[in-house]
Amino acid sequence: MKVRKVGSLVSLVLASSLVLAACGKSESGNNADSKDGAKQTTIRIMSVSQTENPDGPAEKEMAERYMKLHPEVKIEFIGVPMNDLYKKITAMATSGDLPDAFTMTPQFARTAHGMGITADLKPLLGEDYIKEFYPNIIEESSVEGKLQFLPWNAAPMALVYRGDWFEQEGLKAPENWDDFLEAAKKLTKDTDGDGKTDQWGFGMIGTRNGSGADRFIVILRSFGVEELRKDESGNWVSDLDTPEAKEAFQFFVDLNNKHGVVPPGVTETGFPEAASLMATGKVGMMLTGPNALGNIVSQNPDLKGKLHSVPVPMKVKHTATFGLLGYSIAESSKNKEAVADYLKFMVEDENALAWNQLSGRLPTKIEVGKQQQLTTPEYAGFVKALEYSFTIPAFDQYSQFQDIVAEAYQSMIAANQSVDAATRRAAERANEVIQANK
Amino acid sequence: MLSSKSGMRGLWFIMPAVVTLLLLITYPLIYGAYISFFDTNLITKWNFVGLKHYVNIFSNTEFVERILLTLHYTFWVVVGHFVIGTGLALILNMKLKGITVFRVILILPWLFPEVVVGLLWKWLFNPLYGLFNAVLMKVGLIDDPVSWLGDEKTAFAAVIVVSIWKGFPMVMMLLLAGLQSIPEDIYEAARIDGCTRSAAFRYVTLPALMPVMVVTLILDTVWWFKHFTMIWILTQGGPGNATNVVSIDIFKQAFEFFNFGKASAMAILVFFVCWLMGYGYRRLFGNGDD
Repeated sequence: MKVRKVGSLVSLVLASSLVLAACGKSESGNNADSKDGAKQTTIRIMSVSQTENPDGPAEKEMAERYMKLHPEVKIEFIGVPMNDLYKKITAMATSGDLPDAFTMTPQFARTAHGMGITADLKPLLGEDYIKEFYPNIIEESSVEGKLQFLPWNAAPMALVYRGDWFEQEGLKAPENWDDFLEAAKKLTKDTDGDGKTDQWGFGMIGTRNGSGADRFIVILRSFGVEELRKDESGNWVSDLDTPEAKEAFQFFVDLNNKHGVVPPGVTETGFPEAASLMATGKVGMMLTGPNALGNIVSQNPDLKGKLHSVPVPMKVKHTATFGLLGYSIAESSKNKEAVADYLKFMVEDENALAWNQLSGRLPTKIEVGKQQQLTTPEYAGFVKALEYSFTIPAFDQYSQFQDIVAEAYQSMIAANQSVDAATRRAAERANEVIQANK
Repeated sequence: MLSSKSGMRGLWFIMPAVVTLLLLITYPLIYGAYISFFDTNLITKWNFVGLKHYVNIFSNTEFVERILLTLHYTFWVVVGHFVIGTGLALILNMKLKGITVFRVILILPWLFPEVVVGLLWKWLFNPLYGLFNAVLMKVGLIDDPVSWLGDEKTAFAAVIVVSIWKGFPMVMMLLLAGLQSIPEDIYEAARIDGCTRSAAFRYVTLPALMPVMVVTLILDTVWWFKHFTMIWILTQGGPGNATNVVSIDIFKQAFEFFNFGKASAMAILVFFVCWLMGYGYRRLFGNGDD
């Protein structure tokens, strides 16, 4: 009987260890012997580009070229959509399973730094190497003087418009919001004569997420309003219930509710939908980064050369976000040097220009930015927009402000809430967040 | 009285279930409750804040509004499931030719993943390319396309319709199983006693089906009260706050605002709401097997 008891105990222990072994991650997976017997380092990279077209295949192709030059390195990608990136990083960080490198943005860099999951890249890349990048871009990629990610490319927000349609209508590139509205009205029409509008002036993105909110915040700032800023005494304050803010909200909402220059379903229209509308000739303008050019042209190659860009129209000033995207190296990575070397390869002049050609995203190194391919009507507006880019407030809970403004404009669009009620609620929420973070 | 030897053997038999329950249910629950007392990023920051998150949640009406909206949503979804599910279960219980084919077809919505259902209906509702607008415009019921998911008045109803479509097969199948377990002898005895069809339904079918109905009601209510996936895909809680049910709010607190402590506190409160609903049902209808 004793033997049977011991036997069952041993079986249980064996079964448990088998289960645990199956569930546990392989520690030896990072370094293996390659075919020629040399030690091979595997680096895992979590990338948002892998879920996009044409970016994903192009990034893979670049990694393959690197692996040919460096057979001792093997690169594996983990694709994650941009909207799920921060959740995925957080989940993987809490489970101790972060890959060697992962996509990073200025919006999340502060949170990631707070979690202690990002390595400071300055010592890894070297001070001299970092000087090759635009200084304001390096500043935007840093938290408390520590470089959180290597800025791979920039996608400053600008207005993309159909150059050929503007020419036909005798319109000039909009400089201010009055010009913009006039153009939007002219481009909104019934093209097939069936009595129904089938072409609209503006592909407005009105979803309640970062994609919609970031675009509106650029408009808000062009009206001279800051959703979050530090006052003279260094305290965080929000201008969301000022008359200027109300004017900005009302203008944005009126494009749909009053002027009807945007396609129906604006609160459902995210970036992919708006880009498709542009590609299918349903809309004439959209607020976006240069990455949209690659996306739109890949859907409709006939539009190559017909899409022009101009800085976001202004009320009191032009504004733009940097739209920076880059890679952080995990503090936990055992292959920091190998990853850093690959990241350097990605931003080499030739690769950066090829990437710009394909995806539309702008290079981040000073010398590459001077290249001629960036002065065409397609890119000129984006390059100019970089001059007007503002830095994201260094506030831990900044993502709440995206939700606050998005809730406000959606309530006005979908529920006909008054601008006073919507901005009052927005200001209340903003003040609550500021108070909670004191 | 069990001997100590057979008691030990019994313990060994239940051990896998106990370990699984402890690891997969008890531990996450306790850990969730633990997190709710901290201001934390789950990695480097663990500031004990006591009941601050709970006080904060009840310091304004927002959370209560979300709970009420979620109850409103759950009520209509469960009513829809039971009306359609019961009706179809009664039809499928009849001995009709080719009924198996209908059984297979009607269970299809339950078999599709929620993500697929969400995306499918999102396209059906699309104001520019969606099937609904195209059909309604063709038959002349509407002149211009309607943004079903983009208007506060229609988005909530649209989300309920999708949830009813997705969930009625589970109710239908459980009730059908319940109907098939009622012995034919009882109906025969009722017929001999002069019972009509409607009286047989009232006095035989319903009482015999009650245990299954109560369990189904509890499962369905709790399941849809905490539903997230399809609403997130269809509206992300919008437009405005029209479909911002409590699960969406918790998800945003945790994974968009990174307030893991507050999100856990909200989740713990939702757990108690669900438990209360189950308790209420059992009190109202009995334990089902009485």
